[in-house]
Amino acid sequence: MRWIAACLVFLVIPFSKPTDTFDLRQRYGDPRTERFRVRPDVTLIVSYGTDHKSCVLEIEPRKEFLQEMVANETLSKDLTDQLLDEIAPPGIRGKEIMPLGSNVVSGSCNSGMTFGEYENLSINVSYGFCDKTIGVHSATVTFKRSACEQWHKPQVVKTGQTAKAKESP
Amino acid sequence: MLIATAATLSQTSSEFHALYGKPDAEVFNVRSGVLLSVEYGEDGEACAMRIEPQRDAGISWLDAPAADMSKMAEVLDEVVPPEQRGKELGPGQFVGIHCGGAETPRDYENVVVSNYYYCERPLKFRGFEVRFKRSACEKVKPETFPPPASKPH
Repeated sequence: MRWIAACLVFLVIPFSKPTDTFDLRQRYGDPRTERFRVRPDVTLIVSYGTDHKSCVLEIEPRKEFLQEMVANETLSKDLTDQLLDEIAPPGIRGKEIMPLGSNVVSGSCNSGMTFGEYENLSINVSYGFCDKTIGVHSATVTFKRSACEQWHKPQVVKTGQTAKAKESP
Repeated sequence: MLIATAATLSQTSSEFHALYGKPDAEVFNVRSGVLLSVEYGEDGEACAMRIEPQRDAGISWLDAPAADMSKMAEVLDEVVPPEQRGKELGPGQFVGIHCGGAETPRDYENVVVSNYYYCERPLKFRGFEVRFKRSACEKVKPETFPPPASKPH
């Protein structure tokens, strides 16, 4: 009787246990996107291409993953530059077509975006915002390989409160 | 030399794991056209999940059709089966962004399950969100907004 009870416990535990990354990978294969904590309050979201290599790298202040609004916190320019050099060192960018910071698109309320264009990738840094601290909200590196085609579609920004797209089609 | 340079152009998942450790959130393709986003707690187990359709290329958020409820429910039952949710306690509290007119979440012993909407008119069903109630999920909680009666959108 005890033996049967013990067997039942082993059968029930796996079904009542919350899901972890191992369970999900077993069931659905490798994720298309992962988020890492690269500094205590800074995350790096990596989206992979059909060749299983990184296609889009996005640095931003840590926030709830499902939350689509920008975080209240911002990153300093120095930290952003340091992290960009860490994840996309100048050596891998290829020939510089348009240096980062040379082209600024201004928005309302001190917000803006600056772009960098290189042979192998492009970099996009967005900063500022109306009632929030001036600083960097996100920095995105997008690789130009053909395996990254699915991530190259223009991101359409939602209106209202859900302001920022995390996943492109 | 050329091979070495090419290898460093883009990194694989294992290289990122080696640099930064285990991811704290992931997105999976769970079916053709269905995505599962998961954020993990300090114990490495899921704390928040969203099940939603993958949009077709070139279709904006707002132009995308409503999600297929039965298809999303099938994935919900797969990742958080009813026996894992615990006893149903009734209507739950809205968490995160609440769009006026959205259905009240369903509160269970172990999780809260919400239908997911964008703030658009008319509201379209966009998928499901699941929040786990374990103490390890405290840091994953979003800001809770007041109900629509006190803060209309």
